[in-house]
Amino acid sequence: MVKKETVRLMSEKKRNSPLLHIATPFIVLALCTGITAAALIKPYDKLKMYLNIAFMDTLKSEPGGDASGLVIKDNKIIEDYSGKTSSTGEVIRPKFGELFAMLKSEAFDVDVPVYWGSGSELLELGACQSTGSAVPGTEGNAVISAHVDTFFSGLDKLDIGDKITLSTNYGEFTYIVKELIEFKATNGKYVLPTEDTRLTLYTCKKDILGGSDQRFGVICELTESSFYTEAGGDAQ
Amino acid sequence: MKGSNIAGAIAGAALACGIAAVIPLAAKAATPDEAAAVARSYGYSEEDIQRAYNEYEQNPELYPPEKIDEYIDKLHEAHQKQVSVVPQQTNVVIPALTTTTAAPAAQQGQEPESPVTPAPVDDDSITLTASDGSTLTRISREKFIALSYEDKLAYLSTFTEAQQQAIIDDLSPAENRSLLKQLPTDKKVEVIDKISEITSDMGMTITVEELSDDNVKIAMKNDKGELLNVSEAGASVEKTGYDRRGILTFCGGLFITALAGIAFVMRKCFGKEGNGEANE
Repeated sequence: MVKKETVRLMSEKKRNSPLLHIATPFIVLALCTGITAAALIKPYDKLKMYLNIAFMDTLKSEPGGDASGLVIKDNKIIEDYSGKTSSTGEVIRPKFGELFAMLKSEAFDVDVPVYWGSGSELLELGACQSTGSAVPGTEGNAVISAHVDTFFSGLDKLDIGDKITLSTNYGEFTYIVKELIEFKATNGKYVLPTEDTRLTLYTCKKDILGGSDQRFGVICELTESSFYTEAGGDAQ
Repeated sequence: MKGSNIAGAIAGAALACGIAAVIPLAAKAATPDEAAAVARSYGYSEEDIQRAYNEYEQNPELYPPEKIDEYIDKLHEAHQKQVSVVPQQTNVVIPALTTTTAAPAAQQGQEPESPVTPAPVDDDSITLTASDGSTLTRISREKFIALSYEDKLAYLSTFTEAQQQAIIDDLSPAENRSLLKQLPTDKKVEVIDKISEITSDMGMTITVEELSDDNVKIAMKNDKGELLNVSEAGASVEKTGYDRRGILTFCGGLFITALAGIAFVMRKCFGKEGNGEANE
């Protein structure tokens, strides 16, 4: 009986130990911080994406650029053109860092700006088209990529037959998804120029650690070209 | 994509300047298509050729035919840095090409056989005629591509200089591409320097943003320092994912530390009490 009482008193003494009173809050804090930080990764990416789009003008680099020389030019892209169109016409070739198109698809709920050029800075602002690919409206392979965590987070929802539209200030181009593709980052066969006219969209395969070596995307066939023929179609 | 690295970076800048075809001893008004054909023959990737076309179409006034002729010369000079005639050597052994056979037992009084120059034995060997009239047989293109850069040069050195030039002139685009891929860093610098001469009189500068044996990234800027184009070897495919390893490691570390702390607290509070009760 006495021994039992002694044991009870000893354990009660341990529970009241100052070390436990000090350590416990820090342990709980560490646990909560770890869980919260991991849970906020995806929402943070989404928030950053929406902030970039919402405050596009404010967050852009001023002409003259930063140390890398990148000059980001923000253009207002025509989205409600109602004039005459033609299936043939001249393209307006964009400069590096220039916003030259809007990519839309209801199939994966996307309406993102497309920049001409590549690099981490431009990928933060929207989708990027490789300068080694064909300008939309010309023959060849137009290759556009974007971050899987932001602008192309729904790219995996695309299926064969889905419609994608590229709106530029010289015309609107409609594509239909023809093929779903998957490839390694070291295998660039899908980003090479082609003789047929197509649109290739790709992004990283989702990976919990990020920075996956695998890419996935779609190859789309051009179904309609509508070049703007009337003055006033240029909103630059 | 290592090959595309140097090919992409160099070709992107070089071809963006409208480098065209043919070796002109006299002035010849070359066209962008001719330039592209020569670039392809030197192993430059289609992506970089497309990049060059885009640059040309955007600023055609900067690339008149006469200028393209000059640029072609520079392109040929740059190719010389990639591969050129080397002094002929004898008794060269290239393990990747040598057929392994059991050496015959040396008989008394006879000296053992010395290493011999590897001779092409496959059916895909290619027969060429050199400028001096001599005929040579070289290994297949697939075998040449498979050799390391050093072995490629060693293989060339087994021929006379005239024969080496015949081989160099006969290299396929794929073989040239493999040479570009494998160029050591110092050679890449030489090629980039040569290409930079093309753009200097146009008010453009080429800067090397990243340079290693595995990757080359060059940027082309105008006289105001504004970025005109970027060509990154091996990076035709963009990095479209965020690297989460850092933040996840941090979160995981916190989580594990917290669990360890909880385990410690639980043991302190309840561990010996349980033993004490069991002993009663």
